[in-house]
Amino acid sequence: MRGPTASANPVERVLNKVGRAGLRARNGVRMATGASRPAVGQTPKDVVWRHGRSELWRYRSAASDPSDTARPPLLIVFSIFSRSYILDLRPGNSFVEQLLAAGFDVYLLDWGVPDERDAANRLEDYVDDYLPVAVERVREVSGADQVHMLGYCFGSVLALLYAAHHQDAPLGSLTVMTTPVDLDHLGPLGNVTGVGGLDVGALLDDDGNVPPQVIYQAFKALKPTTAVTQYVDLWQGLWNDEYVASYQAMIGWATDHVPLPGGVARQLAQMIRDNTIVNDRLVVGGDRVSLADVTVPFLTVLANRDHIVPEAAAAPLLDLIGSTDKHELRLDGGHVGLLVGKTAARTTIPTIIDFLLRRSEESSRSATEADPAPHDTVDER
Amino acid sequence: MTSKPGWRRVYDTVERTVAPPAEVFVRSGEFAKLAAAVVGVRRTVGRGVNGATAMAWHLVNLPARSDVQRLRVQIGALDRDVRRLSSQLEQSRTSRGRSDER
Repeated sequence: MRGPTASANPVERVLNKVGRAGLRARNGVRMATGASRPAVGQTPKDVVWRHGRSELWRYRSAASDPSDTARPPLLIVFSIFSRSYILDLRPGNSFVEQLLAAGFDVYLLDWGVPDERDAANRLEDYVDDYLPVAVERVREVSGADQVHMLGYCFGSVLALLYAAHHQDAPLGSLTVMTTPVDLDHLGPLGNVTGVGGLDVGALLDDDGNVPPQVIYQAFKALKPTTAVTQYVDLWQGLWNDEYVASYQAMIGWATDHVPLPGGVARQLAQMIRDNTIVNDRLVVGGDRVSLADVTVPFLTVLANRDHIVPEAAAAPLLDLIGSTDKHELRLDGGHVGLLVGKTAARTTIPTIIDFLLRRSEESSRSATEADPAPHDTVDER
Repeated sequence: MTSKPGWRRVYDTVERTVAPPAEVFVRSGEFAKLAAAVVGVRRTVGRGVNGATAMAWHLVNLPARSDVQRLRVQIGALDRDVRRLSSQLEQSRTSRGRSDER
């Protein structure tokens, strides 16, 4: 709905203000009563595998027959800190939607909501149990020999560990977004367990997991004025229905975290103290794991205004990877801005899709590695 | 939206002044130590309250919430073991199937 527009005429200006005040009041009441909750995660999908609380989703594509095996299968590995619907936030503002439109056969591994049955989970559970079986399931369903994997945030770390620990994994390529590797530069999230010496046990709830409220407060502390600014932004745009819907969807997601398994939290604290990834001291399932063992075609995407995974924490990744075919995208944006919003839709996602398509075309053409053509917005090494 | 209203420009100016030092503080070691101390105190107080409540329930021979929770965590650990075993079984079946195909 279009709101009243600004005018130089004083009478019209007053009428505009009155009109906006009315729309603000209406939308305010709708929000307060919960009458205007925007639907999220609307792209149709099928559950093709279940394990514990986790589900593997296959998104239906309107562009082509779902049984079309020519479409390259892309498995998205999401973070275990938050909910995956950010990838399919709203129709017209959906990472998944754009991937489908680009011709991918899109799968998403959703970790669900952990409870006390997941309290003892360790990274090995995800890297050595869930991911190998999920990859096999994608191969079965898609009929493809190779799977392209894309990780986001901590999902990237899981994807990297999987690729490093399973060198025979049938991966066509690996793309990771906003990946924390130099944990000394993680900022407050790392400082609390590092400099602060916080015992992770003190964070755990009775179910053995870090409660979502703690995770929310930790992220909220990174930008202390954001909580107020959000309300100021809302007041300014409250007259605009489209703005309110986007605001509700985005803020709803940003405050909607899931419990973090206590076993993983303890491992993470140790990883932060020892900065294990850049110091090449990673251990998964009792085995030493090095990112130098990741040899598949590789792309890392990082954002220069990311306050959750600062640029300095993600930047060393490319040098740690063993692939000869490896690339880096540095984009102007924030942590979530890589996935949602106008800039993401117009610039970021098409650039990532372009890379993925090239990698999948190359892998389908077989083993011959060709140098990708330079891209305007890409800082390649 | 059109140009920013006056009140918004005032807020942005204040925010630009306040935000940088606030962000520097939350990124400091002092904040990390303070946050860790607050969490520790909250945990200690919570444990004290839970302990007292549990004692009251135990006096009347009933399990406390913490007893039930401990049991659920133990069952959860068993569930995880079964989950890992079934996953490893699935992986070995898949790899055997693929080697048979070859």
